[in-house]
Amino acid sequence: MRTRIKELRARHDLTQEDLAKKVGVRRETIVFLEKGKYNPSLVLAMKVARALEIGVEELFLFEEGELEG
Amino acid sequence: MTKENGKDRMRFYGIATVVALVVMTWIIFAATMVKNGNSQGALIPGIIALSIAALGAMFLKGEWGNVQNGIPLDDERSQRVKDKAGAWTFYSGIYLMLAMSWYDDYVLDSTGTAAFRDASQALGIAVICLAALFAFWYWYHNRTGEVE
Repeated sequence: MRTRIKELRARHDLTQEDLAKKVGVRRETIVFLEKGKYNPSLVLAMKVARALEIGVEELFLFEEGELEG
Repeated sequence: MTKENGKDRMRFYGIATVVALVVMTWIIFAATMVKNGNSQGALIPGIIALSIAALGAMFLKGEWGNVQNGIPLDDERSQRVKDKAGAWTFYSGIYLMLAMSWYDDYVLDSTGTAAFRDASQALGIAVICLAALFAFWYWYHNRTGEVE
């Protein structure tokens, strides 16, 4: 999984701490989300997407086959 | 101050109180040893008290900054890290108990005296080791991010 959080955060001129505060999580959570190393809950994914004014499916990008059962 | 933030502040004061109580316990332990004429024996509890005080102060300083900035003390990821650290502490705790039991038998066989003075000493050591194991596993899973 890849995310566009870092790119969109920069576009909105937000620091990791600002985004963390906005969505109500710790800064480390944003760090791991940006690295694609943390699989968030649906609620958190929606909160981050909303904070960055983008759709959730455009924020979290999956490689081919990653979503296959 | 939001309702959530108010809760976090209360939790912060609770954590700070627990850290202070743990440090005081070790200081009293060290002081009792000095009073009983065992100054050398007080060295390890003294070092443990200082280490906990130093690490605790660093941790509390960082968390206080978070609380003041409206960042929660806990979130879904830290909760998952805690759950995973707890599970791994349980698995490794089984081996710890086995190792302590083997060590006691080994010392008893080779020296004729038990490794631990009594059950309460063995229990105290086991509790301290479990706390250290939990701290290690929390640090490990938080650092590697393996919480799935």
